[in-house]
Amino acid sequence: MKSYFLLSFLVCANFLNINVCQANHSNNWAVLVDTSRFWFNYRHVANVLSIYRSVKRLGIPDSQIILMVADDMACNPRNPSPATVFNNADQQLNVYGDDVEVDFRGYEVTVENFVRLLTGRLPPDTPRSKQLLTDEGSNILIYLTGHGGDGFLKFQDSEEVTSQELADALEQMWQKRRYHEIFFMIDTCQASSMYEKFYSPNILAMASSLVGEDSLSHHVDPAIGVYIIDRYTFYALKFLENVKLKSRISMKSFLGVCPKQDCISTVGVRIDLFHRDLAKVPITDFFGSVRPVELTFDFLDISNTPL
Amino acid sequence: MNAKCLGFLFVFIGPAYSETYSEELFIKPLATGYVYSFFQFTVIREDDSFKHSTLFPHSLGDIIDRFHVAELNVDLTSGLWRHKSWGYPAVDAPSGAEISARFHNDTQDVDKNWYGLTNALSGLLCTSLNFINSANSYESSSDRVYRYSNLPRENVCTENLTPWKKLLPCDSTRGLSSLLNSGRVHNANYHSLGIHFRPLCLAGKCKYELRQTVSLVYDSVFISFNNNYDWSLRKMFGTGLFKTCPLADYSKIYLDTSSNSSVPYLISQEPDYMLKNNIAVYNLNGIFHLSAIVPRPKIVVSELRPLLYTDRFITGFGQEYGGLVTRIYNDHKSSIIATVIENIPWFLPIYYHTLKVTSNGVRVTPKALIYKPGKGRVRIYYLEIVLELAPRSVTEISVQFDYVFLKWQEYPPDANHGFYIGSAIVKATIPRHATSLTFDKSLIVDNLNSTGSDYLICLKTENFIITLPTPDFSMPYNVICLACTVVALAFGPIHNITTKRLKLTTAKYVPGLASVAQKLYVWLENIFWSKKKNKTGKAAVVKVFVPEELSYHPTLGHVSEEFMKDKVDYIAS
Amino acid sequence: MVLTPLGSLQLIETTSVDDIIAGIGRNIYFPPNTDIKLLMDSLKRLLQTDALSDSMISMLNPGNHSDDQQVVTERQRRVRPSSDYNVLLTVVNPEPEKLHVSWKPEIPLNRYLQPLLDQLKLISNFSVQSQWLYLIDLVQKPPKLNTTFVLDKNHAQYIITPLEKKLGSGVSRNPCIHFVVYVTPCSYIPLYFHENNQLTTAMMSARWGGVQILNANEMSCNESVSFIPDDLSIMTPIITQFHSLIGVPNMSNYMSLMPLKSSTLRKWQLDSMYRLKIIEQYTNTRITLTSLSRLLGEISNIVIIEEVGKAVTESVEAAIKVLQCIEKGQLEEALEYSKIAFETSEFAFTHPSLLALLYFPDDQKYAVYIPLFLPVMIPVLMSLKGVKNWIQLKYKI
Repeated sequence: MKSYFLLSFLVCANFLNINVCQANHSNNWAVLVDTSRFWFNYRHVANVLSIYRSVKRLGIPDSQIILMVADDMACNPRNPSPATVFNNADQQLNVYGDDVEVDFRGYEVTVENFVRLLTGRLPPDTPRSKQLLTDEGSNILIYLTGHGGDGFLKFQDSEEVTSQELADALEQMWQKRRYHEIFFMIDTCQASSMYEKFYSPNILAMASSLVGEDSLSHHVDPAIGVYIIDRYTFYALKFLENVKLKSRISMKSFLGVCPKQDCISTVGVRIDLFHRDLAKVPITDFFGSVRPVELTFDFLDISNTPL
Repeated sequence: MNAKCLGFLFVFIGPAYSETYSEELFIKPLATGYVYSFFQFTVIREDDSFKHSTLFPHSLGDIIDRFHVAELNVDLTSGLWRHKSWGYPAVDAPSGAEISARFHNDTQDVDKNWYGLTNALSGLLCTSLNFINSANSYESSSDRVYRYSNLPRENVCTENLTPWKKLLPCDSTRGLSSLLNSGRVHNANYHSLGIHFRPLCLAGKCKYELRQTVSLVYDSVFISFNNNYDWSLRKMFGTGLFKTCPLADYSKIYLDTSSNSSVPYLISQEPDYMLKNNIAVYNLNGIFHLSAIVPRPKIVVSELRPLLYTDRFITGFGQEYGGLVTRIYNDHKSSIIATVIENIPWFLPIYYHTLKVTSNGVRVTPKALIYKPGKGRVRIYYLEIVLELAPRSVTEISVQFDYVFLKWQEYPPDANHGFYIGSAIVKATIPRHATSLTFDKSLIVDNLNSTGSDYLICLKTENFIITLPTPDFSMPYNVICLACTVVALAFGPIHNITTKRLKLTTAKYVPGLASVAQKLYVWLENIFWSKKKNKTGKAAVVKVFVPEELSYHPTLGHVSEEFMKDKVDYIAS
Repeated sequence: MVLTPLGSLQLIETTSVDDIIAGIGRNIYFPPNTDIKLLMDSLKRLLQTDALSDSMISMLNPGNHSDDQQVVTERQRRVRPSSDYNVLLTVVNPEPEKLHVSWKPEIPLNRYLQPLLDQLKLISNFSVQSQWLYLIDLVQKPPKLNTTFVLDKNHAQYIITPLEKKLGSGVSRNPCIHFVVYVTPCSYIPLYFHENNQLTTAMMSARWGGVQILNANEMSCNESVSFIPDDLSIMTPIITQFHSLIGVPNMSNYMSLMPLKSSTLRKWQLDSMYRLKIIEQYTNTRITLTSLSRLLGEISNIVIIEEVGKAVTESVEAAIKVLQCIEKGQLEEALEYSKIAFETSEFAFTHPSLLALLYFPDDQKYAVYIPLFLPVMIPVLMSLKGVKNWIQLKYKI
């Protein structure tokens, strides 16, 4: 040993080769909200459960789906077949299913809880399954359905969230690095008014109708006695049912779902905040979840760990 | 063959030897064609730390550890158990959600743990237990570490059954739990899911027991389609039993055949053995099916009524005052000591001085009475009454209350639906032989074999729904508009008075209708001719005077000289 | 030899080594004729300058990152900073009726994992738990390749989601690092993961945890003898993956390391963990506080209660102290302050009181003001006529 010297060396922040490019997302989340109460709004529950069914089938685990349902339709005394919600009068597809976890239900579905959920400001006792624990690598699907108007969406027929509040909440999420990309879907009357005020980046938005238009329901089931699903979600579900876990259908083809002759309303799309080529964005970037995995080949040698 | 048996033995013991699991189903045909089935899945473990578990559900163990829970009961129920015709259930639970917990004695902040526990359970079971706060829960009068609450409005559906089933070691793939299909469970007349955790201590050594229970009552007329009282596993649950849970120490089905004496019926399977002459026991190992052919009796034979049952209702009319009446029927030939616990929400303020306890119409004084007055938005009205129920008597507890107005934000979105009031609890010790079945031991088989003197029953009364005075919810905007209009109307004259000067002008006075016609004429003239003609034309009825033109009149103030001239003339003449 | 203080490195020139070797303590050994540039490069690697700046930049400007792919992958793999974690080991036995596994996870967890967690206690608290699950099938049917069954990496990624819904960690308060030991069903023994003609039993998912396959010996399947797995072979992948998930620097690609043969960390590894955590927590604090102040600037009528105000002050003070401590080279203190800064800033930002529905959009204001001001304006406007007349009179006549 010839010499030694001591190196008291700490954070050396010489910014090495840093380049700008889009990193991929690392996890998928879904926030699915039905804001309507009362039996005659059965279709809104069917709407939200349709999307729930699809994202679950495509691999988003229940722990990463926040499902808010404002009323209990499945076990409603008026439901002739308990514990089911159908999307179609021929009752082929029970969108409620046998394996469902509702995170916020009944009176818990409020504007306050919704905004708290998005911004992460829930009471400290809230269990993790009811929190949106996203990070800068999360792609989030936000789906809202209910009754709305120009610039607002009603919650439980007693309060409303405005487009400005929603836009501010999303901006706070962006500031806090709570998302990577958002796909915002809304099925309500004058739906496109809800995304017009958005100003945060990386949001792709789609609405069932333009300002001034109503979103219409699809058909009535005489056994249930009410309209059972809205047109836009009906066709969206039809599209999603054909998507398989490994299929490479792009978001661009999804944005073309429900043309005017089917929907009667015009489907609105907002792409100016979103910077990727939609034809190259697979639909599973938002509706599915595949965990990035790596196989471990080199193992540490821990054979001498003392007892 | 020997080796195989040995293997099965290993399997039944399970991977670790400190936990045991068993599955049981108890079926009892009730009077009037109902069939009661009670599932019980029991895990018993010896270790008091829940960090590492083999059969005990980890997520529940984590909650129990984190909040220092010593005892926990959660029941999610839909429907009403009819004690009078069905007897006593294995687990008595009121409609809605009911939760009670006892924490370890050394717990510092019991309330904090209680709210933490209810929040965690709300996430675990997808219920709205997070609505539990100080305004709808109470602590026991004698036990500092005990908390109770019920949410009568809570509905129960697949979203509760799904996580509940995930707590079972075999999930819903094997064994008795494969009978629990959501469509069938929620089609029952009465269904109740329960989680019951308690320590079983014997001579200082404790074991911990977790029982997951399901109570279902089916109307056999409804499920059999042939107008008989036939029932079978497939008719009730939509499926037969195909595989047993390999983790269970034993899986058994018990069938209570005691009603066979009054209504004889045929069972498809011979039991493996009988317990106490009237309980048929089936050991499950493989495919199993059970059905019964029960002819509809010509005369409805009512079962022996239970010794003690209750009744609860509200009295009064209108939306100002009301009364709450709880009746306890004692059909026993000797007196019974019973404790009645009423928890009345703060929005029904009761008048303590109106509390009246009568037995067969005669006023009696309770043996003990604890009353904790409620406080608006903070605390419920808690009433605990210990009574000695006279033999063959009806005891009635009544109290008067007010309906109150809530604050604007406190009304739920469907305020017109009404407000639910949770059940009262009646606890009493009855002789064990007085009821055919008891359920206070760990396993059903122990209960069926049990002999003892007393049996503690805990009855839950009906919930009810009341209509509080509900305002018109479009009111605030109306109030804003109305108030603004009033302000505006007041503002107009005040503004005119303060900024305009009164002055007198001459006008030809024509009495009666002519004056109105004249005004109208002038007004129309103004409109039509104002544009065509010069402004100084006919329309200029009023002349504006400059100050110099005015002179003083003793009563009228400054008036025009012209006017003065007229007046002077008048005075002069 | 003097004791090397925390956060420093001792470079030792010695003839007994042929290459640069990182020791177990804070020593780096190098042969006398080493190129100084090579030595500097190795030191940069060892001190993770690239990883530190990448971690800072990627957080401050989303989308920007270092172009060293390994650095980026390692960052994306690391769990999010938190003061507490749960480590949950789940043993899945899909066929309990055929195969009996006799293993108590708590013993090896205590032996191999606990010393490592004790080392990390300044960074976070870890709570170790274990559970058994049964009867969960592999969703993907593995094909047979020669004598073994293999799950290709592309198929293997689909087995985590179905597993996850049974793990039941949603109620725990802290983020959870999962390790799943999947006992292969008897009909698929032996089963391996497969990628590029390489077989392994372990797989890892970033920020989530690891899955490994436990192949029982066929004898236990056939003869109903309980299978007793080897502690070390189960714990080796778990410890390796745990190292990656918490962000222990992997230097084996760049230089030789003196063998440690233990699950614990070398001292210089712990030092770099400290640095990484300081940077992560400090940067997080910066982002949180900046966005909080921007939020307060945008929404002026937000109410700040005293508790939040205090948390913000505390956070800022702690953040300043982090910088001071770093300058003085006090790693432990800096870590402690960065933890405080991180926690208090998170507390302040996510405080429920910050969101008392304070938005009062313009259209709602009009809804209130119009009924009031419109009727009030009528007499005011009418009186303008009188004012006009009065002015005309005053100045014309």
